[in-house]
Amino acid sequence: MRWLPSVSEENPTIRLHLWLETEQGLFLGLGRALLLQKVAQHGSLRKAAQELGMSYRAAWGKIRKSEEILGMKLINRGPTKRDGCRLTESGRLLMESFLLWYDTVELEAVKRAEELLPWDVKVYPSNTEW
Amino acid sequence: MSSTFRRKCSPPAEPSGPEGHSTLRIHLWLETDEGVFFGIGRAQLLAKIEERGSLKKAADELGMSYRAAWGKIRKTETILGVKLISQNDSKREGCQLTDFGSLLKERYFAWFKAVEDVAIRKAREVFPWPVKGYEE
Repeated sequence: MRWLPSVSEENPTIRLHLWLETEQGLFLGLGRALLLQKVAQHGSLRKAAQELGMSYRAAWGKIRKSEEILGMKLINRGPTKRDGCRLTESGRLLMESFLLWYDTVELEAVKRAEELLPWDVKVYPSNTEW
Repeated sequence: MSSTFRRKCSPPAEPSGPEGHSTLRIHLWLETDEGVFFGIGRAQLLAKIEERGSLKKAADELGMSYRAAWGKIRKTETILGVKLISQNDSKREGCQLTDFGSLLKERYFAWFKAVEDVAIRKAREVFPWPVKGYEE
């Protein structure tokens, strides 16, 4: 259904933020899922942080906050700093579950936008980069 | 996946996951290169205007200035090239939604609700702890 001339020259972009929080704050969102994904890819929190343009300290703080709220370890550090780190089984499942959830919701957002809104829409590119 | 998650992360005696309620939050909006042109804030503003018949009263009730409210409406109108509200002849008191404004508001709310419903349903499938919506 198209009940309006299109928006200027370009199609509108759908933006979606999706996250879970408790009274203690956010513990799982796209930022955290991507951080876990990068840790899995590089075996290093430092490289993961770098690639996402955040400091090591900030990245570690986010992971620790999620771990505290969830009451589970998400990454394991090796015996020495040089060994890097890897996701725990819980960390990996959490990351995969979030990305699956996000993808499903984003697809639904696009599908319903096409039914309900008067424009063709596109999806914000970084949402689908994995 | 979720059953694997439950098995591996949740010892039966003490289910892991956040203590207390886990709340789902969702922001959903539309933008162009010129910025946001429609989201929940604008939909709520339009709904208040419809209810109150006045931009000023709507702005007051949502805790924003008349100027800010008018600016948001005008920005959306400029990007879309369509009027959302029409003002009555008697100056700033009294205005109403155009047909388009009213339809856009309805459709946005329907869209948001549809997306939120799927988000909650799917979250309950995927995550091994209880998830509730923001306003539940």
